[in-house]
Amino acid sequence: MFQPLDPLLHAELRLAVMSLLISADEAEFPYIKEQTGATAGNLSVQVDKLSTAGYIEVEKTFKGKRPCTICRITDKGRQAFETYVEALKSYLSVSKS
Amino acid sequence: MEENSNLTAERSLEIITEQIERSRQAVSKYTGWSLFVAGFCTMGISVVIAIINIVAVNAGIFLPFGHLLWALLPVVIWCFIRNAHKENEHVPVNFVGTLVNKIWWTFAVFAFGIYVFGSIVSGMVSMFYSPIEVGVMFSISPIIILLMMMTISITGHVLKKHWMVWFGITGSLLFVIISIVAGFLLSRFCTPQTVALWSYVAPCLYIFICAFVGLTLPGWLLKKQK
Repeated sequence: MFQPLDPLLHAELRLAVMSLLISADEAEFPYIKEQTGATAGNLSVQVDKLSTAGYIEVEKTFKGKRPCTICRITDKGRQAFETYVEALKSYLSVSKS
Repeated sequence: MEENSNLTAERSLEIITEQIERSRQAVSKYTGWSLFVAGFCTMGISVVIAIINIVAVNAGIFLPFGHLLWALLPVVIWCFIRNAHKENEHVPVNFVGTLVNKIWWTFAVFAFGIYVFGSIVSGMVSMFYSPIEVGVMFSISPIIILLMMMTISITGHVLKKHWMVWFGITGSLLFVIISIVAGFLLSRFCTPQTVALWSYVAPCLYIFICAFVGLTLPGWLLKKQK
């Protein structure tokens, strides 16, 4: 029996953002942009979607005089990611057999 | 990376693995740089202090003036690390990086506390004894070196580098044995000047080796990790 995949995570860029944040305490917007190779506009939209769902929290602050956006994964986001990976496993086990 | 929702399970897994691996590498390099710079600064300062102490003893001044420079070490490390990270200031820190950082900062705080306490006590005692006697009686360097060896072992456990764990353990034992043997031989066969020179310079040598094995080498390995 297949477990349903979270549609919010089942998108290339959003999944990449969540994967990056799962292994770091927090990450700045330019770092995520650099690692995913996404455009600033597209990344901003996807970060907003994840933030609205409560999967990540976005803090807008300043580093010296420059604006700085910091993203952090929330407990809800971590839980959703774990559930997504578990669901993926069920698909992979079926495709292997 | 495009906004694509038609992913296969294999592609999803590939994205997760790829991003976690990329993040891990970036963070490892960043942590590696910090360790490398801290080790390099410690090694540099220990050489400078050793030279100052040798020059002082040769000039007939039996006071380890050079050791006062240790107080500058945290500032020097902070300045160099800040400068080294200017190019990649966006890189985040993961749990392991934070842990290693906190372990070494804890060591630095305790070592600095012992250093200040030892300096005050030896300053007070020097009113009643000669500088050479004070140097032998109130040497704080063995405590700091043993603390450093312990920090190397803990760092080795965190980074899963067994050679670091074993270096910390065997290094501590060797340090104790060498200190006892050297102390006995020096007191038996050498002049007070040579004893003073050894007690002022030997800690620099030990700290140099500890900094190389505990900070510079693992930092370099993390930095070069592919």
